[in-house]
Amino acid sequence: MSNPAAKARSIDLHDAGPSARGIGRYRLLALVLAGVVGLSVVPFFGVNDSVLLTMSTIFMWIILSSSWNFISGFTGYVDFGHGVFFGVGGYVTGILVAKAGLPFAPTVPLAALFSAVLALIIGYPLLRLRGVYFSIAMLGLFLAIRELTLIAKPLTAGAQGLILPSEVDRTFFYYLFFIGAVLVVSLAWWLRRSQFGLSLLAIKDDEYGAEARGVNTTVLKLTVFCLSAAITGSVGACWAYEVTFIDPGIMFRDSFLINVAIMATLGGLGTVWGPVIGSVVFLLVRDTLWANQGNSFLVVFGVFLIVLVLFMPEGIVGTIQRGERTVLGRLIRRLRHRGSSHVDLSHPTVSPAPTRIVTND
Amino acid sequence: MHTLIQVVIDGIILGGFYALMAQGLSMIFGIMRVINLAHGEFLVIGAYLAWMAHEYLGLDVLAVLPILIILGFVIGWAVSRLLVIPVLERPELMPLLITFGLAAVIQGVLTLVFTTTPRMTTAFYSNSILEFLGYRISVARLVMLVAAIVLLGLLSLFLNRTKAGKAMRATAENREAARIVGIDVTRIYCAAFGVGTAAAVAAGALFSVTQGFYPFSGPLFTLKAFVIVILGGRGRISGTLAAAMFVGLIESALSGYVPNVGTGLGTAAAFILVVIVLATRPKGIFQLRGVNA
Amino acid sequence: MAGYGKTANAAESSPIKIGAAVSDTGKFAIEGHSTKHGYEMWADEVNARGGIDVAGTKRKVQIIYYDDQSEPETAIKLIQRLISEDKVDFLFGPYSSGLTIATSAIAAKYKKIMFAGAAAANSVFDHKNKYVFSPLSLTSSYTTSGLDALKAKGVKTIAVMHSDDAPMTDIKNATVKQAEAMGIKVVSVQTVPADATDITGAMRQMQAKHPDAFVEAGTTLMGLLATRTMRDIGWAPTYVLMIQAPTEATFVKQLGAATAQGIMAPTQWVPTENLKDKYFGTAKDYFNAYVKKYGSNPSYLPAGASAAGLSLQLAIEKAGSIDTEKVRQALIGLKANTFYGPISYTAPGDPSGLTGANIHRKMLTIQLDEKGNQIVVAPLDIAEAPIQPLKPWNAR
Repeated sequence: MSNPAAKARSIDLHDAGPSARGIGRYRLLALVLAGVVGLSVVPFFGVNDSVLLTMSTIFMWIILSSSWNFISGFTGYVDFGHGVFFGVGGYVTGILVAKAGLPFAPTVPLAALFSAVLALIIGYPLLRLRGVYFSIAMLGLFLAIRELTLIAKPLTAGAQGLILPSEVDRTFFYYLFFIGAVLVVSLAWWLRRSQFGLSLLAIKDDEYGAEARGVNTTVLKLTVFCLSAAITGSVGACWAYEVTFIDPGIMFRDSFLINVAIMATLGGLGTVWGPVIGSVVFLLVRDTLWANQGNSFLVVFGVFLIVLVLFMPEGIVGTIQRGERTVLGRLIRRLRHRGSSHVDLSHPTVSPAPTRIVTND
Repeated sequence: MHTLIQVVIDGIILGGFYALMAQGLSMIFGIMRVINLAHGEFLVIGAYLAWMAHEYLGLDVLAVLPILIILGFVIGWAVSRLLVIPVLERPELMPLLITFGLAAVIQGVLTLVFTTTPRMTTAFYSNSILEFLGYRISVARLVMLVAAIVLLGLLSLFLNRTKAGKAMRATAENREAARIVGIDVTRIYCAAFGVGTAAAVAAGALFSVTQGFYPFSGPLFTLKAFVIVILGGRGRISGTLAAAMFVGLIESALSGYVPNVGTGLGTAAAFILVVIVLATRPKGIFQLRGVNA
Repeated sequence: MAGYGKTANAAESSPIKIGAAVSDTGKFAIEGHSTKHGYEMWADEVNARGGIDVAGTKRKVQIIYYDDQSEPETAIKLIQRLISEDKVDFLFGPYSSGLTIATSAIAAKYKKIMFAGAAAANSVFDHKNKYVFSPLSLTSSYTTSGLDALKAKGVKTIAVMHSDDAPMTDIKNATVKQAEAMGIKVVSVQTVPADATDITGAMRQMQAKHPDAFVEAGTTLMGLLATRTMRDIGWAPTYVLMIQAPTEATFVKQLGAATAQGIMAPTQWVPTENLKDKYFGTAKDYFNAYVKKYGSNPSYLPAGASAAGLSLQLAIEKAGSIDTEKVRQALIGLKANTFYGPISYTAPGDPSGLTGANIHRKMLTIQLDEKGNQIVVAPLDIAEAPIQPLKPWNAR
């Protein structure tokens, strides 16, 4: 990452993100707007296609980890098979473009719709499962559908894969994923402030309590699950078109499952800017490691993950905003000398969910 | 008829291995409510340890098995104490991420040390075949089955007859109650993780004689074990054994009778079954009422 | 595209830049290392001679390596970086067929010639991408010489088992088609998952049909498992052909020579005296030079990688330029005999339906002898020994 444009972009995002509480709402808004405007003109400044690809990949993961955050970060239902929607979306577009000869654009809403319907069908029984059972069921579903994609050869061509007649146009995909990322982050921002979003956070904190207070948790959970699936499915559709070739191993890859979880956790679960910061930091760190670590990459990556979970479970944004329980967080707080604005965080040690319902936003 | 019996024999033998492989994961899940994503990697560690024992020391798998089990227990205890216990009270995503990180570290280290060239352990019974009435059983697989039954029997005795075992069961039933009656829950967790890891290491060592393995063999074992744990219901040996036999027989029958797609279909079917079971009977379908361990 | 003109105008003495995406780590680390060694062998050979003669000027080659991690997203990003940032003149592609297809679309878009690293699947060359080349024999011809030899031995029935991935499915399809065309009956076809740990059922189904020969298409791990299972179920068909495992040293080492004896395999390359060129000498010379440099025996992968480099070098010299279109024309017109065997590439519109493939080169078939050595048994005109039938398991 030696080019100035990429550097400028990552700085933009850093500035806009974690300081959300420190610098006041209007300055934050101005910064975000400046960032959006700045990023939207990047392709006009002679930036090469490799930079555009790297940046559009970051935008893509911002969308994916944000949409995963909707279900897993907000409600606390850890979806450990979210890649199924990415894969299914990709295959809807793949089959329609490669086999039925449809143009790309109309397949994207179809992929989103198909993913949402799938989420509705499986979400209804599975979202009743609490805790780790939901995670396992989603993982099982992911693996089952991958196997079925391999077996259903007349439709999917199995392991042989499908070739999509596509244009390799980096500028097009840059804008596609950039606009998507802006929309998804705006959605997260709105969600965080709406009654709907607060109810989701209430589910994470105490589902039975929320129900007792008259919140229809089933409808809420299903709605956000379908929303998240539709977003992920349409990204899968776009990505399938971008890579020009799909097979079950490429569309349903294991690394997807862990990557979205790491990005959202690294940034901060249940926050607006967490998945954004997490995606940027994770992808930059990962690429640097790949470039420099060679054979010991897996070891370094694993250690990084362990350290993250052990010492920074609230993520970057979470640690800065309300990391009273971590050493790093306390240090940051002390440095900022702001002790007034927070609600009581002395919560019993059992189930210390990183996000509280009551926020001082 | 001959084919049917042979398919059943193959299925039972496969099931025996699956039972031993899954019981470790089942114990950890049952007692700690943690899904150990590095379980398959512990199997692979067991396989490499057995391979090294033969390659460098000339010792047979069965001879070093007790040492490997002890070693597995120690590794498991340490991993539990250092990595899992600190995140146990946190949201369930954290144990998943941390064990995934551990799996990556193990895969990386194994690749650095052994490269990705496949290995296979030689044992004195490697090439022996048991033949009766026209049925053939590979001795290596039979050893795996017998060892699995013996080890599961010992584990059952431990859980039912010893004080530590009873404390483990009590903790699995109700963590808070166990704490109140004075059980050191943290120690129980470490011991459970240790026993689970020891079972995985043993299963891996026995497995390494029957087939080649490489540093990335682990995730598949973890997934298979998952399926069995979910079908069998958490923690209990009877449930795990029944589910393992069920999966073994289904796989054996599918691959023995259905031409062409055979085993791939079996894998898909197993995962679909997991989703259905979780959606309808989250406690597993092989959970015998009132029977403990 | 801006980078293209700039490279062509660069100072004549500057090196020719080649970008390579190889798997340095991860599941394909072994294959990746072998391939990388092959590229290094070629680059060192060229640079020791002062470089490639481009219209009278000697230009050295510089290879930029990136590790693709066998991840699609990474492979795509690396190829894009090599093209747009490193501004390379030519590309050596990643390992698997799927990644090669995905990255070759990028190479075509930017009009860069890409040599498919180790992808031998037909599908890489049959979608009319005129910028992809590979000196390897394709999956469709893997079993051709073996089947010919088996037919000559009187084989009437075969069973085929393949793992469920693209190249092995290609091999299965080609094997079934060719066998039927020869009048050999295919009595059983079995598909097993690529990462299967138990294939007893599939093997028993084939055993029950009593075929004269058994063809297995899978990785080294699958070959180990298949051999183990054959022994366990007491099945010793007269002839056994495995696609990959027997050519890997670890196969004989882990199973023992007694168990591995008699199993056959197609191979892209063997180090004989019969193949030679003026750069690397004979195949045997190449073998010795490789052992001296890296301390291990080369498989077909480094040889194929060196051959890809060699064909590029010959084409550049012939074209007298590194201009993509001129070199591409030179590659299509190339007819060279090398230490790797004959190299010629199909042009777009070739009756075979393939573009950029080296289809006229025959695959060899080897058989493991009682010491685990690889003996060439087919094609019959260069065979070192006749095919031996497999001994029953209890006679070993």
